[in-house]
Amino acid sequence: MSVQEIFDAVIGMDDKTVEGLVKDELDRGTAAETILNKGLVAALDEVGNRFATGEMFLPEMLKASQVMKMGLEIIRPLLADSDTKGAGTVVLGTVKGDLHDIGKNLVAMMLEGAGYKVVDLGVDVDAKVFAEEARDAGADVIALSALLTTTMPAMRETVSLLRETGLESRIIVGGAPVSQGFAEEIGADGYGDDAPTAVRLVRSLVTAQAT
Amino acid sequence: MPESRFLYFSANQIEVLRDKTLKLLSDYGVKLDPHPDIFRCLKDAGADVDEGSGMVRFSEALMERFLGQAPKEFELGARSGNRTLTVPRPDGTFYTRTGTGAHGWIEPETSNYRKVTTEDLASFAKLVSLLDGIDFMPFLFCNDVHVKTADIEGLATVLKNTDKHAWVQPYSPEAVEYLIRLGEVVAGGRDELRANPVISMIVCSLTPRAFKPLDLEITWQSANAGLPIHACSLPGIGGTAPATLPAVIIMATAEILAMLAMAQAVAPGTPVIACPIIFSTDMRTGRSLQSSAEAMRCAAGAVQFIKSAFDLPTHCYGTGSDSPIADAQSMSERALLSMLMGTSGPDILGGAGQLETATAVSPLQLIVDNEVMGIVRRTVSNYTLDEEQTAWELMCETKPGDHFLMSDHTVKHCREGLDPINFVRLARDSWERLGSADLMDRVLDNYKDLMKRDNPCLLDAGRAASVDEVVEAGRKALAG
Repeated sequence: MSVQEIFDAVIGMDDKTVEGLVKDELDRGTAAETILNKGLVAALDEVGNRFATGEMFLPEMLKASQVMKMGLEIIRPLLADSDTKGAGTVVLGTVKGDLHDIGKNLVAMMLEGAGYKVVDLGVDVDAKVFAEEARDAGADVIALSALLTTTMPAMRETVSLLRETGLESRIIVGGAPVSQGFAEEIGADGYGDDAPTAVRLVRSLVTAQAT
Repeated sequence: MPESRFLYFSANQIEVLRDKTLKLLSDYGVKLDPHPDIFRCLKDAGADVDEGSGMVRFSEALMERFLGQAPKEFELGARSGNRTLTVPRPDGTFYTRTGTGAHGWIEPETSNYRKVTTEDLASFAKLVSLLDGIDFMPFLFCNDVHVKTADIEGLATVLKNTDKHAWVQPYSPEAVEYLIRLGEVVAGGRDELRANPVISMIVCSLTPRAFKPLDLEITWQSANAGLPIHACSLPGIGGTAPATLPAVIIMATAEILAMLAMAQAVAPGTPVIACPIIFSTDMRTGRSLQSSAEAMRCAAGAVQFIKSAFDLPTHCYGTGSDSPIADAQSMSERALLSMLMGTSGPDILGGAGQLETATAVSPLQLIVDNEVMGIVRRTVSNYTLDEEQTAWELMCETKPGDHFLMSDHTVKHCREGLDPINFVRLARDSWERLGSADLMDRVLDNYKDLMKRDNPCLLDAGRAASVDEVVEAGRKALAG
C-alpha cells in the first residue's frame, strides 16, 4: 500500500476502495498532509490535465472529483485549516424566471471538484437573493445562468443590482442564449460558453483578485 | 400514416420498450407544478394525483383510453384553404417547418451574425410564403421588442406575412390568451379557430419527467380552445436523460404520453402530435448537440417506436446543424439528418433554416433546405405498381440494345423528375463558362430574386388592424 494507490484510485474513479486506502495509509503513520498533497490533490491535478487534453471526459472527471472528496473527508479532521481553505467561494444560480439547471449543475460540480466552495441557489433566483447570499458567503465570484432568451433581461437586472450593492465579487454569466457580447453589454466580468471554460474563468478571476 | 422505410426494432423490442414506457408512467409517474384545473381534470379522468407532491401516475388502462381519444387524423389549418395541412399527409410523406425560437440571424449578403429583429422575421415569413417546400412556420425571437411580449409580437408578425399555418411557442403563461386571440382574429372568431386551427401550440416537458406552470397553462387553454398540441420532449442524452439511447426513447415517450394524457383529460379529442426532439450532451463540454450521430439515431428510433407502439403522428427535427454557419458541415449534417428522419416515417420534419443547434437561422440555408427536403420527400414516396409504372408491354416490345428516349411513355413522364432549384447539373466547361458559381452564390442570387417579388400572402388591412389591437392589449397587460 502506498500513497500511489490512493492517487491511482482517484484517477481510476474507484469509489469502492479509496476510503479504505486512505484509512490504511493513516494507520501506517503517513501524515495527512502527505496523503492530501501527494495522493488526492496530485491525482486531481492529473485528472484536470487529462480532461484538458480530452483524455478524460466530463462524467469521468466529475466521478474522479467525487472519489477525491470521499478520500478528503477521511483526513479533513486531521488537517490544518489552511490545508482545507479551498480555492475560493462561488455563489451560483439560474436567474429569475428560468427553471433550467443542468448547465448550472454541471458548473457547480466542476467547481467543487476543482476545490471551490460552492453555494448553489438553485433556479428562478431573484436578484436580491443573489446579492444577500453572495454577501453572506463572502463570494469571490457570482455565476449567473440562463437557458431561455426571455430570461436574459433578468440576468441584466441581476448584474445591475449586484453592482449597486458594491460587492467586490466578480460576476460571470453563461447559458445557451448568452454571448461574450451580451456579457460585456450588461457589465459582467466574464462569460463562459461551456462548463470547463466557466471553471477556467473562475480560476483566473480569483487568482487576479488575490494578486 | 407515413411508413418507416427501415426499422431499428423487432416486434419483440417494440413490446419491451412499450411495456417500460407505460410502467414508467404507472409506477413512477411525472411531476406537475401546481395547476388546479389540470389536477382536477386528471383526477376526474382517473389519474392517480398527489397534489401535495405534484406526482401524477397513469395506469396502463387509463393511458390506453387516452390514446383511444386522441384523433389519428386532423388538420393544421391555414388562412388560405389550399395551405391547410391534413395530418397524416395524404401522399404518405411529411410536412416541413422552419426552426423555432432562434435569436441569431445570419445576414444573407454578408454572412454576418447579429440578433433577429421583427423586420428579419417579416422577411423570413415572406420567404416561407414563396418556398413551396416549406409547409408552416413558428416565430423567431425578436430582440427589438419588449421581452415580455416577444411571443405575441412574433406571432403577429408571422400571421401578417404568411398565410401558412403558424406554430406557437408561448414564452409566459400570461401571453397564452393573447396568442390564441391572434389566432381567432385570423380565423374569424373562436368557433372558426376551432374549425380551422390556423395556429397550433408547443407544449414541452422539463426533462426528466416534470412540467412547468407555463406548459400546463398552454395545455389548459389550448385544449379548451380545440387547438392541436405538439407534445415535445427535449432530452439531452447523458445530461437530462440517461446516456443509453433505449432509455432516452422510453423516457421521452413517457413524457409525451403524459402530455397527451393531460390534453385528453382537459378536452377529449384534442389532436396531439408526438415530438421527440432529441439532443445529445457533448461529453467533453456539456453542450447540447442536435446533429450528433447519437442524437440522430435516437430521434429516428423514437419516431419509429412511437409510430409502431402507439400509432401517433410524429414530429421531429428533420434538418439543422450544430455548425454556426451554412458551411460544408452544415450541409453534411442536415443531409444525413433529413434522409435518416425522412425514412423513419415522421409526419413533420422541422428545423428548416436553423444553425448552431437551433439558436440561429439563415435565409440562405432555408432555401437550400427547401430543396433538400423536397428531394427527401420525393425519395421516400411510395411506389405505385400498375401497368403504367411497370411499363410491361413497352419493355417487352423494345428490342434489345434499342432505347426509350422517344417512346410515348418517356415523353409522357419526362417532366416528372424533380427539377433542381439551386443544385447544378453542368459539366465543368459549362459551369466555368457561366461563372463558376458555387452553391451559396447561386442560393444568394435565388434569394435576391425571390425577395424582389411582392409578398403574395400579406394579411388584409382589416385583420391586420385587429392583430395590432391584440398586440397593443398584450403590451399594456404584460409590458406595462
